[in-house]
Amino acid sequence: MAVGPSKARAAVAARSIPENPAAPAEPVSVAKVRNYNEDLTAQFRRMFDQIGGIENQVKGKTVGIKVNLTGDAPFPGYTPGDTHWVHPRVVGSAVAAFGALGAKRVRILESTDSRKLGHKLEDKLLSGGWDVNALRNAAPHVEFEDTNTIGQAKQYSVFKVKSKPYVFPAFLMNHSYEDCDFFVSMGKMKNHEEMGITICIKNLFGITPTGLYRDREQVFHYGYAQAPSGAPTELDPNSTRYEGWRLPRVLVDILGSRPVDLAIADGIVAMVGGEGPWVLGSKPCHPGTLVVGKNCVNTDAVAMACMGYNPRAGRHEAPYRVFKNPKDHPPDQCHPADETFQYADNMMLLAEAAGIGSADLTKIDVRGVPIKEAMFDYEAFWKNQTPKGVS
Amino acid sequence: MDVVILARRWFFRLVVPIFLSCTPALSGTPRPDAWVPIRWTGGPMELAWRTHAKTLTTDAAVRDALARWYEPATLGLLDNSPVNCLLVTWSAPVNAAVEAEQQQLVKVYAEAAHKRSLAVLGLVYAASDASKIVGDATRAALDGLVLDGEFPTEFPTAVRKAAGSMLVVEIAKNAYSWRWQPAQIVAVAGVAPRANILSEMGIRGAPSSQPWIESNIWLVWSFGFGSPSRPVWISSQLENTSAVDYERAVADAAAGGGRWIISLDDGLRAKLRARDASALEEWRRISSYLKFEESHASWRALAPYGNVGFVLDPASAKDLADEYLNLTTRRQVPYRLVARSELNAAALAKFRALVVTELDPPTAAERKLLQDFAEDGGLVIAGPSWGGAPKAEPFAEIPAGKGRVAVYKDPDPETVARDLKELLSDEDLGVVPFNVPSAITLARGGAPGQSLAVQLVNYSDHPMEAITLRVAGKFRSARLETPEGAATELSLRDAEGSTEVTIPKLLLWGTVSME
Repeated sequence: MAVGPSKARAAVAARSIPENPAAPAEPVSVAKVRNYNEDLTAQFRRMFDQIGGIENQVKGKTVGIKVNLTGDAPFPGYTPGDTHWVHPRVVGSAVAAFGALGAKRVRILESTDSRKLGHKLEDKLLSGGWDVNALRNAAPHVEFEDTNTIGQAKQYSVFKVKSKPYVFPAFLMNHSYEDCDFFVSMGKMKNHEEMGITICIKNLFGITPTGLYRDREQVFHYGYAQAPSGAPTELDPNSTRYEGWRLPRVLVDILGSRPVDLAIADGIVAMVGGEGPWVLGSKPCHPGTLVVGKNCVNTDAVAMACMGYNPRAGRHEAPYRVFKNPKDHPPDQCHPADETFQYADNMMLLAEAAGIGSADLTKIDVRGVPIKEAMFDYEAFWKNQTPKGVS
Repeated sequence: MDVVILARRWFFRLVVPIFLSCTPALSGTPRPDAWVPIRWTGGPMELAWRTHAKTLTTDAAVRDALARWYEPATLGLLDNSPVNCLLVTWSAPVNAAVEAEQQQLVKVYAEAAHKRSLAVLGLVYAASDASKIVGDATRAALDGLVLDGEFPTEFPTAVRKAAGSMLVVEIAKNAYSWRWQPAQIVAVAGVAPRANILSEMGIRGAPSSQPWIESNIWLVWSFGFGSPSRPVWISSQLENTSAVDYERAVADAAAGGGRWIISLDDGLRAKLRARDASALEEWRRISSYLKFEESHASWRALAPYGNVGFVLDPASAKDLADEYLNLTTRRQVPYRLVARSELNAAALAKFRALVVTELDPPTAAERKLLQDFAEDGGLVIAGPSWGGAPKAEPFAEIPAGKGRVAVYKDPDPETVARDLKELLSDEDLGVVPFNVPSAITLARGGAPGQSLAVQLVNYSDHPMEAITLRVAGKFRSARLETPEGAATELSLRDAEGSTEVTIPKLLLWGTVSME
């Protein structure tokens, strides 16, 4: 069979990240959820059952949830939780479900990027219009911690990369990521200007504390600055600085350093074209999808398929063939040395190669709603190619 | 002491109170400080002037409405409206016959307006014989003149000289030109208030970016020197002319303590004159906002609230000062203004932070005052002339006794406005709103035993929901009032020494009064 040039290029690029048939694959649950007013707690309980149950891991334990927040500017007529943060009802319902399953304590975690002394995560949530008290009362013992700094501990916790590290051998993080028995990455199913997609792996970028690493873009995206004194330094300071190569690997290192016990992908309402309304050409969408799984890589792969993308896509395929506005990026970040086009490497394939989880849909047991019934084609919607009435 | 400051102080203490207590030429018309102004242009001169300026519409119905605007029936449109001051077409370079016809029309119209207790001010569009303009206006029993155009420098002076006790309002193009000058009523060109989404402007923002809000609140606030404060009018033409845009223009000027010179679109006016039902409903909605404004004049009387003081100097870079005030307002940092000439220990004791970047450099006496302020626990934000500016970082915090001095190597309004929110605690800021990306909040009052009024204006076309206000101190009650409906009592929450309230939904304008 003849293969076109672009497919051939993609195949070559994809092959540059070795397949790993031995990477684990666990069940992933997919649900169609029309809006945030549905009974999401009951929905989560069903989905948890579909993936084999989590009660044994949660009962009497501390659950830490890294929620996906970012800038709080909304699209007109939307809240941040609708489009580029996880939605507060998703968070509250998951907290309620963990509480009902006997969790001793639930901690909501995120690094807010605020430099304000004594800044609280609750204030960030208020800035998105969240009902913090309702969230606090969603389970018997709910806490919040801005993991931007050392927090209530005396020192940062050291997290060694347990998989084969790509860029960093270890990271320093707020104690809350160590002091939880069951760690949840709760991400939004949206695009990302430089990485192609944000779901549950990319969400983990926010667990690195800016109080320590300061300008994370300089340290992790571009590698223009080294990690601060006292923090583990990168393995090869001479490796490429192109963020499309570097950051996906750093993200897999972060995932390898703090493994995820449960991944929840909120695609009930979301956005295409970027990670926030500040990205030119981005816009809200209503996929009506919720994805839950125990393996973060498996979950992201299924969620990505529900977004209409091939989870094994290479550099030259959507969503990894990216465009970064030269006005907003350093010149060398717009001109990768090893490619003609701007790109991002597929972080799921990198995670699979590192043995963290499979990105192969043929190996993942998808439960609940089949992918083809849950699919909302982000790329087509972004290009205004979807039929009239699809929002 | 600066002569300008002395003149200003003398003016506020003596002239303004006397002036504001005087009634205008005809009894029954309201006092100038209570004037609610509207552009009420029309007549043959208006048509001729617009033809000259190439701005006359081709719509025959609108032209007809403008031509016949000074028929007495149009005064009926103002029934049940707080509008009480008409700005009518009075002087423009047109031929003598048109001028005579216009002045006769306006004279009769003004007489009818006065019978309805409406003040009438004549609009002057271009420079000509000042004595004649004033003399004609006096004979037509106008209550004053409004200079609205580009004039040679000497013309406003000549008009004022000829006018004697007749009120002359000059619509200034720049705020700073009038901030330090005496004026009975300050009128200044403003913007059409709205929120612009950066991406819709083709600008790629950052995660911390917020909608770009065009507002006049800071402009009105910037005249908040002196007591009693001067009436401030904002002159702006709206680009979009839905009822919401008009309401927002009213709210925007009123929230800061001023008044928008109501400027209705010609098409709307033509429909109003024809008693079109939808136009009358639109005017009723606008009037409800005006009524809300005028029925809460007590808010305007409350002193500005703010623990951050901006020290302004008449001699410094004027447009830069405006930018500081504009951007700090948009960042929701409550502030008050301090004239450089009025810096003293007692005045500074009312603040938690002072922005003194305009004192470049401060005098030895000023520096001593500011150093003492910092050592008593305050924060001083200074430019590089203070000394100790960093080479790499934007600013360095230099400890000073119980407080600190933040020295910027190259202070700019955007950076300082942003950093203020991070350098100060919520308690120091005093009033902190959450989830207000398309709104501006500002507060008045709050002195011991006095209520605190926090105004919120939404610049988006979409309602805002789940707004939280965190206010330093303890309060017994909080009440939300909006032009749309009855007052709502808000539940209070204790927040570690502060008080929080949540506003479930706000369409466009609301005020939370906290006792």
